[in-house]
Amino acid sequence: MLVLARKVNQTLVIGDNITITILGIEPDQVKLGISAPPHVSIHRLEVYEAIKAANISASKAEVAMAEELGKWAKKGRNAIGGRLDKKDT
Amino acid sequence: MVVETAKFGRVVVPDGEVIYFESGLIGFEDQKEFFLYPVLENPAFQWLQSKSDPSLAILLVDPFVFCPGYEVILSDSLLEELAIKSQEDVVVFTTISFPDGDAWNATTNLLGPIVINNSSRKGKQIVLDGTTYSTRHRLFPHGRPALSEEACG
Repeated sequence: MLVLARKVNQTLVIGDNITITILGIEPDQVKLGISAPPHVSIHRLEVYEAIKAANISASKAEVAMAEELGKWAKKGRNAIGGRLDKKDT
Repeated sequence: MVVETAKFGRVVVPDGEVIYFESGLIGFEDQKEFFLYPVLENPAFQWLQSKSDPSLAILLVDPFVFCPGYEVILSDSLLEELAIKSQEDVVVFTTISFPDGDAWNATTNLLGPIVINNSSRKGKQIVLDGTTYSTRHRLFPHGRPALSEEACG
């Protein structure tokens, strides 16, 4: 891992079009300003890991389970009237 | 085109129905092309099936059916990236997991919804930074619902 020391308001450049600026330093926190092209995803690692885990878990769903859920909403449509019909999609 | 899938056999997918995810899905970054496959008789649920990996299919739900107060704010850069011109173009789904294999213990990831532009056929999984939404939100907090019971509080 490359380790660089930077002060407040100093910036790093990664590649041609990503910059990271140190906006503030507190005893146990730094504030970073990141500028990158829209196709470059930027996530907090713990959030990224949680969503990755959720996606991997979601990829293990089986058809039978989906059909079981499907039965409920069909009945639910009768039970709660028009509400399901107002969905945004 | 005809696509081989592990769950649904051979599926005929019209070219215009393929959805392009430039960044893939989080954890599946190399998967760029998907299509939606219906859950029989229930439009609230859809499978997101990878075009190139037959075994990759993720169950999606229309979160607004279950959580009417759910809010997804689309950033300007996302509007640009997915070429979203009007709200009618946009469909939002969240993924469903079955942590213990029981359908009524299903959870959905409200923190990382999947946004699809139906017109441009571009999609992206986004992260709702700064919200308190969970990646494991129970669809049925009290287990198997009675017919009169609503899901998601």
